[in-house]
Amino acid sequence: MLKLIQNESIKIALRLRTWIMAALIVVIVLVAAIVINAHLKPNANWKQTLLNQNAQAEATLSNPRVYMPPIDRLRLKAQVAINTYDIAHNLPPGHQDAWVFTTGALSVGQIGIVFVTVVAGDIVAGEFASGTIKALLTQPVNRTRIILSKYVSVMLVTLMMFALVLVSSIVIGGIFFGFNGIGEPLVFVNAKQVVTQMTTGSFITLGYAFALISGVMIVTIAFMISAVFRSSALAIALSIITLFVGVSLVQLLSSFTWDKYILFANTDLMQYITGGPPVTGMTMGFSIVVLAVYFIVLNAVSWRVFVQRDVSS
Amino acid sequence: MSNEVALEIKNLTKVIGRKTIVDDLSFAVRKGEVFGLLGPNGAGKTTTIRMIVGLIGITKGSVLVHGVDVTKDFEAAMSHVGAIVENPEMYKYLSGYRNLLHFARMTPGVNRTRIDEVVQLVGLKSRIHDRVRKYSLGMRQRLGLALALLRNPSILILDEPTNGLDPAGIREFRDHLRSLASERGMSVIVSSHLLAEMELMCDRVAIIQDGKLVDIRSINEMKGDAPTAAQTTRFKVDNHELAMSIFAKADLACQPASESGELDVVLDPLAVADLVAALVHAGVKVSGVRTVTRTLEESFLEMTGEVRHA
Repeated sequence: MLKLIQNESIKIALRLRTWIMAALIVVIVLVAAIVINAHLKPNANWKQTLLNQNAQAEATLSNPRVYMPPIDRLRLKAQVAINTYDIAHNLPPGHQDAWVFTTGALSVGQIGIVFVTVVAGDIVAGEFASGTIKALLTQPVNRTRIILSKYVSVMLVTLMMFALVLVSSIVIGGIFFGFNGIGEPLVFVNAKQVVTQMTTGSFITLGYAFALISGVMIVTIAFMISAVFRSSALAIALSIITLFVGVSLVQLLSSFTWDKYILFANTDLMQYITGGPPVTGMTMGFSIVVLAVYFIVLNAVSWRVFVQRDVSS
Repeated sequence: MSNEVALEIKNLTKVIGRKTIVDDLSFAVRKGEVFGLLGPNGAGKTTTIRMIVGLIGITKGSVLVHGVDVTKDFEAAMSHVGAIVENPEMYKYLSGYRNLLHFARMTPGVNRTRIDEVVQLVGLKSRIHDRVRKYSLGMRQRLGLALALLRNPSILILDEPTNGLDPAGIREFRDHLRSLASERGMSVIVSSHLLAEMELMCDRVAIIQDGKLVDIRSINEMKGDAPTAAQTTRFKVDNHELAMSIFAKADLACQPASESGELDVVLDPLAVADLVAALVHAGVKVSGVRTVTRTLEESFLEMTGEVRHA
């Protein structure tokens, strides 16, 4: 089994595109650091600025003539609460260090997921497209072991992608903004809309762990489509679409009680730490169960179709 | 060639939708023999081969590799089998060597020494570290053969192996196969729709039409030149009537060959000399005697009962 995983990993590692995507991730992190650095200027009047911001926000929120989606309303309220907290605790906003930068780099992980989707979408379908599937399946290795080795390799790529985002943002963030601050508090609004704080280090750990879980789900979808439809393009396109449309879909259907069973209402476990779930009454335990069920079903479908398939043409 | 059976196909059937692609096919391939699957395009040759190597499911029947059922213990059965199904497709972004290394990792006991051996055998040594992308079709074919031979299989299965090869390549390929069968005792199964090719390569052929087995014949039998069998001999003589009376005396059936005005007689090859002596003695001028071998194509068309247009 280890040799099969080695085979699949070599096939991924010896493709030029893998390294282009890895380089792009580092470049995006670097550009983000440069842009943030350029806009980082100390403001002596920051307390007044925040007070002005809050006054403006309160005015908007209390004006019945302004339409605002509930989620934005919540975000604005949260911003007001954070500003108030910063003023009270004398914390100038926009403070940067390697660790704050690393929490921000989580969104680079989203782009990274798109890249991993390309690998996952191609790993089974690509063998069919090139015809190498015939050689692969006429070796003395049964199909269950082949598909498992492919899935494990894709999971390894997902893990390495997040590791790359994490390490490159710590290193690049550190070079630009200094390495101090891992133990300093990060202020945010929790699921119950209360302003809370956590050390930046803990926040990074949770954030990356939960991002990895949601990444695994997206990549598993791409892998399943790749195995079932034997088309790399379809697998890549469909999973990127679901990645972007999924969350909006959950919002769109939020009036239905079954909305909470949609995969994308549950992929982001960070919603239980900050912001709150899209449907009230959802708990992290519920989401973990839903994710586990989807995970098992998606992989069962991939396995079943791959093992049963007639390889002709 | 021994009588030991390497591969046995029993009542193999494949139904896709309502269509029966392969219908109750049974045959056995002996150790060290080159066995052909011959039939027109769409006869079910490739489907049969794909069932043997486990690429497609079996509707009914079984495939036994040295007695091991392919569907029951795929890994054990396939460890004896090397296959090229249609064109040998390889990872184009990898070198030939890395391709072989990749597949070597999938079979226990295949090491780098073995890889070097097969590379030497197929004559790819000088280009083995180039990417497959840069290979010619002939080189890919040779790499495919190297891959099929990698785990030293006792059964080699090749689907339309000479598709796209030039005449020199086909000849080289054929020589490879013959020596693998005769020197290493490997059983080789090849499919083709080309009669001439099968004639040169195989010991026996199974003729398949519409998914059904029409017949299994040895190549010699089909050509009608088995040493002891009676053969058609064509005589060119000046006096037909006299010659025919002499044939009649010898109890031999005779019929004029179509356009040439020659006479065809079916007789034991050993009797030809005596018959010529009798003709000459009676004053018939014999200007030509030759045996007529039926071509494989004639036998084939006779068996499949089909008139085909080129």
